[in-house]
Amino acid sequence: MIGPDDLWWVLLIKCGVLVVFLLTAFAYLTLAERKISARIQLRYGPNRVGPFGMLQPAADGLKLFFKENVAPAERDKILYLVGPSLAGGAALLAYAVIPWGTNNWFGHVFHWDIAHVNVGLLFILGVTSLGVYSLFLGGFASNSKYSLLGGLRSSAQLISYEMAVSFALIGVVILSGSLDLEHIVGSQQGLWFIVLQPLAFILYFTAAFAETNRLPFDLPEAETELIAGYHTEYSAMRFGLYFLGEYINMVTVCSIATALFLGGWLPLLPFHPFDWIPGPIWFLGKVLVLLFVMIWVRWTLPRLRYDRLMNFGWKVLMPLGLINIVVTGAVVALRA
Amino acid sequence: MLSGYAPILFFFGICAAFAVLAQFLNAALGPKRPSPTKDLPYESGIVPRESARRRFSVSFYVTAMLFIIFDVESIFLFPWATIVRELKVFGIVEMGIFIATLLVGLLYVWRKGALRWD
Amino acid sequence: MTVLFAVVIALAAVSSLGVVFSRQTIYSALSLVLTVSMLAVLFLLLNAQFLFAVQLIIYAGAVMVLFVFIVALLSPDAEDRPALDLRAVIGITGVVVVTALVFIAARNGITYSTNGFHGTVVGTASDPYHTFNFPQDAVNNAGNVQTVAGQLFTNYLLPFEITSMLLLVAAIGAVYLTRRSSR
Repeated sequence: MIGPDDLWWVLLIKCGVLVVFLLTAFAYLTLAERKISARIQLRYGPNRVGPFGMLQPAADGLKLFFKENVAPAERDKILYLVGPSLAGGAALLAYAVIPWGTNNWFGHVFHWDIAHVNVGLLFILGVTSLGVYSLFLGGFASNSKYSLLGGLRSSAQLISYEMAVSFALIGVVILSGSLDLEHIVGSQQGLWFIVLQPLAFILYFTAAFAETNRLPFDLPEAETELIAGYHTEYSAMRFGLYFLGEYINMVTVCSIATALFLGGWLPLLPFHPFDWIPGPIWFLGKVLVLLFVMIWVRWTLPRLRYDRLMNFGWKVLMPLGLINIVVTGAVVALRA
Repeated sequence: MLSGYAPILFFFGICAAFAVLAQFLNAALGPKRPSPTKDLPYESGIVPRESARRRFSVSFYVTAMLFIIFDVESIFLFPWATIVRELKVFGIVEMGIFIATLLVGLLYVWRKGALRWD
Repeated sequence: MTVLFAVVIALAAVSSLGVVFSRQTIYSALSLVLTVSMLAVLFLLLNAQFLFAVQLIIYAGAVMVLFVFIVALLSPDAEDRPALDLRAVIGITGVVVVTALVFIAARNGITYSTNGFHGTVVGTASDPYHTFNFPQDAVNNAGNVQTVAGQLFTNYLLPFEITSMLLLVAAIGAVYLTRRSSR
C-alpha cells in the first residue's frame, strides 16, 4: 500500500516546509537574540521595524542581499565561494533526519522528517564533521592572517568537542539500543532520558555550545580578538550564509538534545490534557526552551580563553563522557 | 532501506541550490565599486606586510591526530552501545579492555603535555 | 540505481584524478575529501549504511581534516606539472593491471570458502552473531548497526582488541613526533 511518505509531492512539500521553517527560524532567532540580550542588558531591542521589531530580520536579510561583496584580491576564488556554501548547506542538510513525530493516519505511518534513516545519529555527526571544512576554507581562502588563524582555531575547537558530543550521545544509544532517532524518542515513552542520563545531557549541551561557536566558546570569532576570525573577509550574503549556518546549527543541536534527552515529541505526561497537543508542537516548544537557554547563557557567561577552552574539551568533557559510558553500559548490561 | 535515503539526496540538492542561489542573487543585486583599498585584507587599518602563509603552532597537528584516534574509539563504541544488552558481562569486559587501553593512551598524552596550550 | 552508481563512480574517479593532477596542494587535499565522500556514498548504495556514516565521520571528517591542517600549516608551494618519468609509468601500469584484474574477477565471480567458520543460516534479530549469511532483508530487519556489532564483538573480537593497541601506538607516536626537543 502506498503511504503518504512514498508520494514524491509529499516529499517536495516536506522539503519546502523544512527549508522555510529553518530560514524563518534563523531570521527570528537573530531577532530573539537581540531582544533577549537587550532585556538582559536592561534596554529595548530592535522595535522600530514593524510591531515589536518583528520585521527587523526581513530588513536585515534584504540588506544583506543588496550589499557589495568586498573581498580581498589575493583570495583563492573557488574556495572563497565554497566556504559559505558548505556552511549553509551542511547546516540545512543535517536537519533532514531529525524527526518531529510519527503519526498513524488510517493505517499509514507518516514520518515528520525528510528521511527516516536507520543510522540517523551517525549521519548527523558525519554531516557536522563535514561542516568543519566550511570554517577552515573560509579562513584559508581569505589569504589573511587573522582569517587563517581564526579558521584553524575554530576547526580545532570543533573537532575537539565533537568527541565530547560523541561520548555524551553514546550514553543515550546504550539506553535505547538504536541509532535511529525515532526509536530513541520512542524508547523514552516511560521516562525521558534526561532523568536517566543527566550527566550526558549536561555534557552534550555544553559541547553543543562549542560545536556551534557560541559563547562561552566563541573566541575564534570574537570581535575583540581576531576581528571575526574565519569570516573576517566575507561580506553581504556570503557572510549571511555563515551566519545562517551558525544559527541553524544551533537549532539542529537543540533539536537533537530535545529528541535524545527531552523525549522529542512525547508529551510531558502521558494523560489527556497533555495528549491533545500534537507531537510536533511539543517538539517545537522544547526546542524553543533550549534555544532560549542558549541565548541566555551567551549573554551571561564570560568568554573562555582558547587554551582553557581546549583543555576543558579534552581534559574534562571527554573523560567525563567516558566515565558516563562505562557506568551506563555496566548498569544496563548487568540489569539485562 | 536504501529508498529511505533517497529523500536526503533530493534535500541535498535543494540545500546546494539554496546556497548557490543566495550567493548568485547577492552578486547580481549588490553594487560593485572596486577600489584598491577594498582589495587588501583587513588588519585593523594598517597595510599588511607579509604574506599570510606562515607557519603556525604544532598543537593543531597534535589535536587533529589525537582527534582521529579518539574518533575511531567512539566509532567502535557506537555499535557496542546498540547491543550492550545482548552482550551482557562479556560485552562490558571486552569494551572495558578497549576503553582501558585508550585511557592509558589519554593519560600518557596528558602527562606528556601534548594536550597543553591549544 | 545503475545511474546513481555511475554518477558516484564518475565523481570519485574525477576527484581522484584531481588529487594527482592538481597544481595546488590544497586542491589535492580537498579532492581527496570528495573522493572519500564518494566512497562513503558507494558504501551506502551497497547497503552498508553504518560504513557510510563511519567513512564520513572518520575518513572525511577526521583523517582528511588532519591532511588539510597540514597543508595549511606547512603551506607547500604549488608544484610544476607532473613529470612523465619512471614513477608515472609504473603508476599508470599499476592502474591498468588492477583495472584489468577487477574486470576479470567481476566477470568470473569471486567466492571465498566459509569452511573455516562454523556458521548456521541466518539467525534472528536476537541472535545476530551466529550467522554467516547476510541477506539484505534479514540485515535490515535486525538493524545494520546491530548486525555489524554482533559480528564485530564476537567473531572478530581479537582484531577489535588489537585495534585498541594500534590506536595506543598511534597516540604515543603522535606525542613523540611532536615533542619539543628543546627540553
